[in-house]
Amino acid sequence: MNKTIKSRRNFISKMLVAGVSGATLLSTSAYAGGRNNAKATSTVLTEEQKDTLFYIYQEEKLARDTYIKLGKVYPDESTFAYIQLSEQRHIDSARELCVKYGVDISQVDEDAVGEFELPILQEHYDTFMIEGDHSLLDALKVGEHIEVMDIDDLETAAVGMPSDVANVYNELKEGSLNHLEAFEAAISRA
Amino acid sequence: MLQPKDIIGVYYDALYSGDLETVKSLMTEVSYFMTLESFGLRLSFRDAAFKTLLEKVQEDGVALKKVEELLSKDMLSREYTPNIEIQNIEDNGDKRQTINYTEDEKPKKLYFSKEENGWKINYYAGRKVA
Repeated sequence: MNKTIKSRRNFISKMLVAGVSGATLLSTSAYAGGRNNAKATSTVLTEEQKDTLFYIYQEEKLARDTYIKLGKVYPDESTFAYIQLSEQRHIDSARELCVKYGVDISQVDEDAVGEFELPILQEHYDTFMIEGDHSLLDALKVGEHIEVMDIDDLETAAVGMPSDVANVYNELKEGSLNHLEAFEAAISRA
Repeated sequence: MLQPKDIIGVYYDALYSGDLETVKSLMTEVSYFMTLESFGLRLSFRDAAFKTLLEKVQEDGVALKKVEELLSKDMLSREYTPNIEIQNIEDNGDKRQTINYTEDEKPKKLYFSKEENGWKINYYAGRKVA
């Protein structure tokens, strides 16, 4: 696990000790940065950077779809329902970046839950369903895995990006860190 | 030079026969590591040691070789031979193509970019470029 995740956990621990509730952190911090740091500037992206925007957009759908399905398998576990709403906002943010930079996303069907035309994303989703179906604990561990994966990918994707894109990816990463905390808390309860 | 539409069949045959050396030859390096991560996920959930190895494949050649060995056996054990039918080819510029096809009647696509050593599967090449 990388240093960023560890330092973030230390930060959250300190906030909790100081009396800020986890629920408050979960509901506000992921998007507060966007409002405060939003810049009206945009720049020209390289083709490679546009490719990254497109892939991250497709990948964000993977998390949302997984939580939608696992939420139906385990309706008494509210973590999935809660985080799937947040993941929809992640998709919205990633989509907005694509639109802003002229990346054509018309071939991605956001409404087709659990269906991915790219084989590696379908394989990920299918595996998450197989594992998550075993037990609630396994399903929560799937959530934990997804969030760690997203954090790593967003960190990598943000490198070298202009500030507006990097800011959005950092906000999404903060959201994923919050999701990770929520899944870890749920795992400890399960 | 193999064309993207011809690579699709070779890719599926190689992947599900555990021939990862061929799979590697059909892809960009980044896409190959993404393939290992994706198709290695099932083993990763079942085997903590494999998961640790998988996390190190990009910087550790020994870990890469072990992951390829174990994943090769796993892919073969799936005994999956999908029916692949090419639907259409989209040119996304001089050096990119998207192949739309069905895998057991489910719509799928793979992106390709033209590299120095031929057409390669490239998961990042899904956009049209001028």
